Amino acid sequence: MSAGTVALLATSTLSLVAVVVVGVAGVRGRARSAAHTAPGRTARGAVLLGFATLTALGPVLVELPDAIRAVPTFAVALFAPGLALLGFGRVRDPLTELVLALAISVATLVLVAELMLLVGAWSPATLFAALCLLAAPAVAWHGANFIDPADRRPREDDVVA
Amino acid sequence: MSSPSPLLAPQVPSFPSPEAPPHAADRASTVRHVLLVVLALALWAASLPFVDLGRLDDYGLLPRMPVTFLLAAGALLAGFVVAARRNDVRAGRLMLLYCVALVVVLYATIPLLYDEPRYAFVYKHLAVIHYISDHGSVDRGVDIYQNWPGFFALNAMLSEITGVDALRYANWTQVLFPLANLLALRFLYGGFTADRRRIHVALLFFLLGAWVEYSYLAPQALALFATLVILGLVVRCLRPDPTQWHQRVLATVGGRVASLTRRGRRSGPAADPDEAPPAPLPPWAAIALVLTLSAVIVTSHQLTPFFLVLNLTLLVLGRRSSGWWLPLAVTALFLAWTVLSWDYLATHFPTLLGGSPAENLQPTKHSSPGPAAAGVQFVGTAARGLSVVLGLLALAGAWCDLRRGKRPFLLLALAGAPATLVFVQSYGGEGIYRIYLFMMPWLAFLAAGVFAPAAARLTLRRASALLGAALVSALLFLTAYYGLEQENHMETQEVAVTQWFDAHAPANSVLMLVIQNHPYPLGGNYDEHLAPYGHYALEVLTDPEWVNRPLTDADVHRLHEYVTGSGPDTYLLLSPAQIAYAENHGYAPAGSLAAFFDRVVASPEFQVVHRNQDSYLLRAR
Repeated sequence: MSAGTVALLATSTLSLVAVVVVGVAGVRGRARSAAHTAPGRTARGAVLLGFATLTALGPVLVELPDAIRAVPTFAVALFAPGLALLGFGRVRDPLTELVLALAISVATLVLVAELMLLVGAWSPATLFAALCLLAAPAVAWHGANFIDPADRRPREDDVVA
Repeated sequence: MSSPSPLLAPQVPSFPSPEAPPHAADRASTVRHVLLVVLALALWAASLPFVDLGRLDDYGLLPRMPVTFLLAAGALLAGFVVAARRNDVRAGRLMLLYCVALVVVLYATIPLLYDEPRYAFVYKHLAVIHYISDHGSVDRGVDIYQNWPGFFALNAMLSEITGVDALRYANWTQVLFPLANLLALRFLYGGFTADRRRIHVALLFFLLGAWVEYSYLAPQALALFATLVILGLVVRCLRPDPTQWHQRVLATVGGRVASLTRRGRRSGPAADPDEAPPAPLPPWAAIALVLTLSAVIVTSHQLTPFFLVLNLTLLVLGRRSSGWWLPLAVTALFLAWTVLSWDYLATHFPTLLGGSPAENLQPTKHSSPGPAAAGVQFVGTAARGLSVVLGLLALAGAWCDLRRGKRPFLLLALAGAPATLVFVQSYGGEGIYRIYLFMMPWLAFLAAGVFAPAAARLTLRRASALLGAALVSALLFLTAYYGLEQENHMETQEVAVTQWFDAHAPANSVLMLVIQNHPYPLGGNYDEHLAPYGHYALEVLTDPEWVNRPLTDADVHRLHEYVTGSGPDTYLLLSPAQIAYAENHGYAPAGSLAAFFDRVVASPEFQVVHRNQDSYLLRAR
């Protein structure tokens, strides 16, 4: 096993641990003050937690055969950075969140890629691993905020155009 | 209170409470709609194996489509209209489902049918992506793309992360970008109205009106998406505060202007801003994202900042944005980036700005020098017809808005503003297409006004009109969008010859094409094979001595002299896509080039250095 693979495995493990810790802490915190949750939101939270796990596995995905890693790595690269940042806000409409997450992720990738070209440090795999490490816990936190063990009734503003 | 949102529908029909359990009839109706979508997609999928790409002609792909393809598209449009008769949450979701299914039918067909990326001009974008992957840097002296590398750097990065060469996923951007634009437009339109029917009918017209290809692997596609998101953020998150000094000035001026018109007096106060949907982001976050996306646009595409600044300015003047300084900020970003690229621009584009409007409306040099094939002319007429239909519907929609007491002037200004590009430059003859592209979101939204009555339920008469407009638009769209596939379809043999040239041709050798409709350049070493003046390849048929005349045996010798006169390391590449383009656009008489190619290949004056089926790479002996 090469040193690079060991580093990627370590990154992924660290990221997974962060996802579990942040996710559990987030859900427990939400259970204490479940003021903003609703049916459907719990499912959304579960999807986000699943995506956080996939993001945490991102660094090792790049070691898999191309046919297996293509779709998950595209999904992580194009959505994880945005979902991580949107976790600090409150976008109610899931489709709005999806389009903003895509926009933020693409903008992040473009600007960081240009920066790497500018400084002569072109290393997409390293950048991807770093993004996964940073984004996975934030996406987990984002998802945990939707999980409501009490599964409350919907608020009117859960449904928007 | 001042009105920041003249089109925010004040008379939105009452929606059923999301807490109310759905009626059994509603559930049954939803199931029927979902089944219709599944059936339409099944019809579409079943039609694909019967498309014979070998029989493409100058009318393109549509005549080669089985009738099941048209039935699938028709079923989706009919289902959309039935769903649009209601105007509630459920209907909104169904209309969106139909739009997504329509994107699949209209845009996923090509990626599933073609083995190689569509359009010859996509390949130079792939070459830049490969260059960045190979070198890990850009060279501003190579071409203009390396001076605006944002989109290419993104794809080089995605290629390396995912392990999928951009050559392999290029066609799928034609599905990804329409889907992304659908969501971005839904986000944007939601800032102008809460009327779900209007939003989704506008999405439908945007899909059906987009005969100008905007979704292929190109910086334009990313820039359009980013522009739509920026405008959505501005409209939804940067609502003007009537106490700000500039809003007070605009309100005073606007009030004076409105008082001069009868409509201005009659329309009265517009919707209360409290009726606007909640802002998805706080203003500071929205501004940060707007500036970040503006930086992406400015570093990715040369033309889009012009349209972005126009739109942002109009939103400020129309009192829909509190970010009066945003147009200035984007302009400053653009100027700063242009200064960085000035060395290249000054040497290659001495007349960056200028030209009369008439000159700037002239098409590219690649438009037909002789009479185009009948099919190509028909396709062009369909495209122009679709533009006229959308334009007329937009005007009708504006009139309907006026009758409802709303003021569509800002939307009309936004729709018309891109046309001012003709006073700036021609953008290599493509300006007219970009103008239409940036008009389209607003034309579609205005057009949807025809079918957005105050009543909760669309009348049968109006629903029939919507179906008729959608069917006419769809037929014109399919004719235009699939109309040039004989020349846009790149075959594997053609790509393979290019790859052979990239791998084997010595550095500083140059490629000569009969006409530049071939998948070239492609490799990351394309900078080693640039022709004089930074052109990617030399061309024969754009020379007036060669254009649109029967080519004889004497021309074989003349071609030999042409090749040898261009330098010792010049390769000549002959391929089917060049024949299709040259003959369809009047560069060569119909049916003449294949025979001429045969004579060239058989001539002792040329040596075939590589062949793949009907594609030849030759050198002069």
